[in-house]
Amino acid sequence: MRRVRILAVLGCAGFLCLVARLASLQLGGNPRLQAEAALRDSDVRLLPAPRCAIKTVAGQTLAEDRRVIDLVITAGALYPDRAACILLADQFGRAQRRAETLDEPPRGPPPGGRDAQALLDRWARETGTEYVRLAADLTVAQVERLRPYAPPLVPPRAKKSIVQLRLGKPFPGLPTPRELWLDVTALGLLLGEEPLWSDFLRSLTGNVARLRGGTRFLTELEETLGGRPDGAAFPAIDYEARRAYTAAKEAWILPPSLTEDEGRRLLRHVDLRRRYFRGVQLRAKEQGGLFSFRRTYGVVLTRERHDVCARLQALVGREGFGSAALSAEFRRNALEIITRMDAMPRHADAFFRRKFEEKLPARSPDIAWELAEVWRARYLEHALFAREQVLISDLEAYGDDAVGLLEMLPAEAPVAIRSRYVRRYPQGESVGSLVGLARPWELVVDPSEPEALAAFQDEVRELRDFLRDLRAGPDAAARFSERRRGVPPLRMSGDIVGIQGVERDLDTRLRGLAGLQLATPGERIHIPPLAGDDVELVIDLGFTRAMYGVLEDAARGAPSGYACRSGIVVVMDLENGDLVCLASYPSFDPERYLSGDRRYLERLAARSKEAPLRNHCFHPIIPGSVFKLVVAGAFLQEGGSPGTGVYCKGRDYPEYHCPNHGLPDGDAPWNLHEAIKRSCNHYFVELGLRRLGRDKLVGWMGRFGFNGSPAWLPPELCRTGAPDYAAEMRDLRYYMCYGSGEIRVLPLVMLRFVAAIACGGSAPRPRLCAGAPIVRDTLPLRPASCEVLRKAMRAVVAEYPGTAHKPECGLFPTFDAAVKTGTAELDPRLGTNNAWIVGFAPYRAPRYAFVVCLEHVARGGHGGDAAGPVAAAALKHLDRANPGLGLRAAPTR
Amino acid sequence: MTAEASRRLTRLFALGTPLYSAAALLAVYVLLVLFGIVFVHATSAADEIFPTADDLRHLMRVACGAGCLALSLAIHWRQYERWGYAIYLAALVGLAAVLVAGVEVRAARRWFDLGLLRFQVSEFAKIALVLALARYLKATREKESLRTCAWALALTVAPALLIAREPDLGSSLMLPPVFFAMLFSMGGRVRHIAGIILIGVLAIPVLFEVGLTDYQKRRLIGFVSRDAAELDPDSVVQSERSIEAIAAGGILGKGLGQGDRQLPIRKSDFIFAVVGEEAGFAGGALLIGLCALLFFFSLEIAARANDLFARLVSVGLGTAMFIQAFTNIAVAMGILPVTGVNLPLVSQGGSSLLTTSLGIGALINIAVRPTRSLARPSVPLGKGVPGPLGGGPRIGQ
Repeated sequence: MRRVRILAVLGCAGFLCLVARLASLQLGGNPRLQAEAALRDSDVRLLPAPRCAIKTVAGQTLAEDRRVIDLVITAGALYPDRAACILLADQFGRAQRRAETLDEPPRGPPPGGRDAQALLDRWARETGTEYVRLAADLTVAQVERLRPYAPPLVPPRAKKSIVQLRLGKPFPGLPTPRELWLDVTALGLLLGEEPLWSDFLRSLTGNVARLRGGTRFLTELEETLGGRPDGAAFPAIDYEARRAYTAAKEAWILPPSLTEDEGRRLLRHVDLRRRYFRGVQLRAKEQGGLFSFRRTYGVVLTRERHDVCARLQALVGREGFGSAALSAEFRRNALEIITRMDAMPRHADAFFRRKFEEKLPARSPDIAWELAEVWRARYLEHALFAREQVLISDLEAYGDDAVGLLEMLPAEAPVAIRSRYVRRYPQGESVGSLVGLARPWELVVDPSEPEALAAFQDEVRELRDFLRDLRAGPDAAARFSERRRGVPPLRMSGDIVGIQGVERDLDTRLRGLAGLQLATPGERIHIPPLAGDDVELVIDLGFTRAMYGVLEDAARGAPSGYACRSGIVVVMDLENGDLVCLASYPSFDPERYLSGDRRYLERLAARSKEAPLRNHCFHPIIPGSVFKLVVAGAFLQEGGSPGTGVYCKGRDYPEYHCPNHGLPDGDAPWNLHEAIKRSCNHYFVELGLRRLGRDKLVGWMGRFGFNGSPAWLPPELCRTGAPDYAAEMRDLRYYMCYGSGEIRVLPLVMLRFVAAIACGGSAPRPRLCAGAPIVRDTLPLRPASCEVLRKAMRAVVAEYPGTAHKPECGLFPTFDAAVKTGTAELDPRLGTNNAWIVGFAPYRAPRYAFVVCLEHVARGGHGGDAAGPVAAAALKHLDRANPGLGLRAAPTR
Repeated sequence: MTAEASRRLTRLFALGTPLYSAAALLAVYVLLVLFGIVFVHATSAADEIFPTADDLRHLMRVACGAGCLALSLAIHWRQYERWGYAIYLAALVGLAAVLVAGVEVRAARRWFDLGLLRFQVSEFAKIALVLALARYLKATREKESLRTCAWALALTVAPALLIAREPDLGSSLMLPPVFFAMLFSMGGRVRHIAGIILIGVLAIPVLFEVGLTDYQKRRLIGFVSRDAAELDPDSVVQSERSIEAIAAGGILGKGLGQGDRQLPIRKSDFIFAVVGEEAGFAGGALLIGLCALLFFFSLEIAARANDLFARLVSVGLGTAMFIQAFTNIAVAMGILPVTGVNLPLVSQGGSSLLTTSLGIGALINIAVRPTRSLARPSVPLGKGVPGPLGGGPRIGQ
């Protein structure tokens, strides 16, 4: 009695636990679970947003989105048999893969593994015969009965009979099994070129198949192999009904007279992937009344998704409809889909390997293998049946043809229409490296990048978690937008992300964010897509293009005669800091790049030393003699007198040499003006090493903005910063005083410095975007110093023997400009230089500042000779655009 | 309330008598069966009022169950004792036979195909085990000895192993608790029971490696470790969905037929999830309460039974039903991994309904039929109050 009471108490405790758990689930208010359930029932759809455009202030488009409409289909829908074949073979190869991965001894032949693989091979070849094992483990009696119908033990691949008896693999202790093999091809012909059906049939009829003309054999085969347990033979397959239907949607391939277990046993072979084998279904039929209900099963074939390819093809090739281009594209894409499908198991292998190695450290090899297999199966499944492949892209381009095609598609064709945005770059190569590239951020699995699936899973999980917490309401949109723009931004398929150039630097502004439509039972959240902002660049497209052409010529050596590897031209308007020209050679065409034109990409790769993808305006370059302006400026600011004299005898000093700048009159020392005019290295070595010293020079360099990346340069104008000389330059060497060695300057910093000189100390900041504010910075340059430097720069052009005074430069006497040339030796062996010319024009009332730099100029090409003509061309263009500006010098006497 | 009135009330409603327990048990049985009918209909055809073919089939089974219940009342429960071992042997033979000749569904051989319905032998084996154990434990002389315990264990392990071979681990694990309960209520030593449990716990790793199929291993690991949940995604998904469905029920539920339609295997294994979702906490607690009452009334019958065999049978049958109900509800709420055990009387399985009805019939039988022996009669007879069935022959009073 007491013990019974104890049992009662235990039972009570148990039930109370259950009630407590129930209460915690239902009364505790478990919003997370409810949200999960709601989320699963919901329909989430992304509303893609276009990326905004990049334009110039004059309204020319540099980059914009274009909407493209594609006709897509999944690989598994287009070629269902092939896809099912791939999956079946993959499934059959499981045991083999396990043995290989875990180094286990193989456990006998995989069931049907060879057969399925053989089917696949045959599919690829589409010739020859392949034998499929029809029945294994025949008893001796059965063999004797079948012997008259099959020549015994003929070697395989003999075409005598479509049925063969072979010896199977012997197991120890058991008699050698006999096996019956069936020629797949013959059966395929019988059923209308669907060899996969034989594999299906093998299980369908319990290893019985109907052979051509062998009805009696079939009956005997049924009997000998033993049909159903109750002794009745398997029903025959109604081939006629199956073959006859083309218009009917579905037909009974096996009438509903099988019991449930038989039906399930029959389809076990394909039951694993029955949902992919959409053509085949086990269909139940209920008979009888109240007291004797019986459910029987038959097999139904539905053709709704079958042979879409053939039908589509028939449509496209029809007379009077469809253009050759459309059908050619269709066929090309269809073939590509096949190629990709055949490659999928290999990619699945790679993916499996990766997952296996990832799971292995924490788990036993068995479990790791199982986990990796699950992932592999999902990968294949997704790649075959979920990932959409383009069948015809850009339907709009085909115009009426495409409309006709869409109207005539079979209603049940599993195609879909997807729109996407494609980025256009209409201006071509000249501004390519400035504008950059943007590419769609892909969430779909690319078979050639197996890592993408893991990333995809993580993103989906995060998105799901976020959506789960999202509630309908006025702030849902705001929270969603906030998260989307957060760091890191929650990206979705449909976002196009900039990866280079202005596209990358101003990405957050340009990028539209895809919207969301989340419909759950009872509530609906609609968040419209967020558009970005258009970006306007202040550059003058025509000017830039013209300068790009000039740079192209200069690279070839025209007209100066010195070829170079790359070059830049930057021109700034001194009134507001607008960068009216930003030409960088070499450059690339983003549209051709994104189009995947292989030859183009190869050409670009061949020129990689010249870095065509890089915009050279935003990278530091060895300045050469233009750096002397900086040294001079520092000297003047330190209180140095412009009249400081230094003797320079001529060309050769122990460590360096001065350019041929002539001898002074009467043994007088050079002053600053003359030193700049003639670009005397010795003078500046004196200034730098003895008058200034390292600390003062580095300090002034910092104040002028030459150290590191200055803060006032926005990211779109500076990709790589100059070295931080204050930290890195230990001691000042002689060559640094004339801008060689480790000295690097950013062209825009140099530009601003020259602008400061031109404007007497206050210079506008260079700006690229129209929306950026116009700011004038005051550099620590006294107006007197600026005047000295200005005069000296004018003398470079106007007075003999200024380095830009030569007619080859093209500047004198045509233009009223003040410049400083520079030549930076790069490679003493080859003699290549950087050729610089920086300056401003007109001299009387400066309006434009410019920087021209040619890199890796051939031997002998000095600043004035090589870069001068380019600068002259720029000034010519400016003069033509603004004739009243006075860029041309007044004719001299 | 005066003593006289309370006595009259007691006599009127036969409160406290075994008759009351039997009637209450029958009432609980009827309620549970009604629960089952209502919710099976709700799962199959929520929008229709007319019974579907599934409903009719279920009703047929219910009718069969009622018939079995009536059948089991027709004979005296002493016959169970007499035929106990024979029934047990028949069950063992049946279990062995089903491994060979049974119908194979989804890689498991558990059923015999009898045309109209499919008969799951393991359900029947439960009752057979209870009868055999009760008979053995009554007949043995040294009730507390280790030898008794060992033999009883052997009696239990034999069918359990055969069931586990099918493979049906869930059903086979229902048998040890029955054994423990019966041994305990008979008076077996607690240390014996504790020892067996300890050995069982220590043997778990070995059994895990050797005794489980790959699929079962994966399911267990997938249940225990969330990280490895992808090993057996189907059962993990079922479990999760069941929990979510229950949580979505609230206090009063969503209403009959308004539940989530995507829950897999709704009709048999996860019927409790349907109840929880559509009838809320009220319905779920009511169902748990009814199952609890089933257990308690059987224990009360056991307590009142004068014959050891009757007591043991009551305890055994009650525990069997309790364990089955507890496991099923625990699985539906995510406390245990998915086992495949269904809720007695409510779920749609035919064999379970039949055998549970047999069990309830046996319990009622024990409650109302007197002990036809030289011992005291089972119904305490007051002065002048006749026994419910006209009393028994008062022999040797």
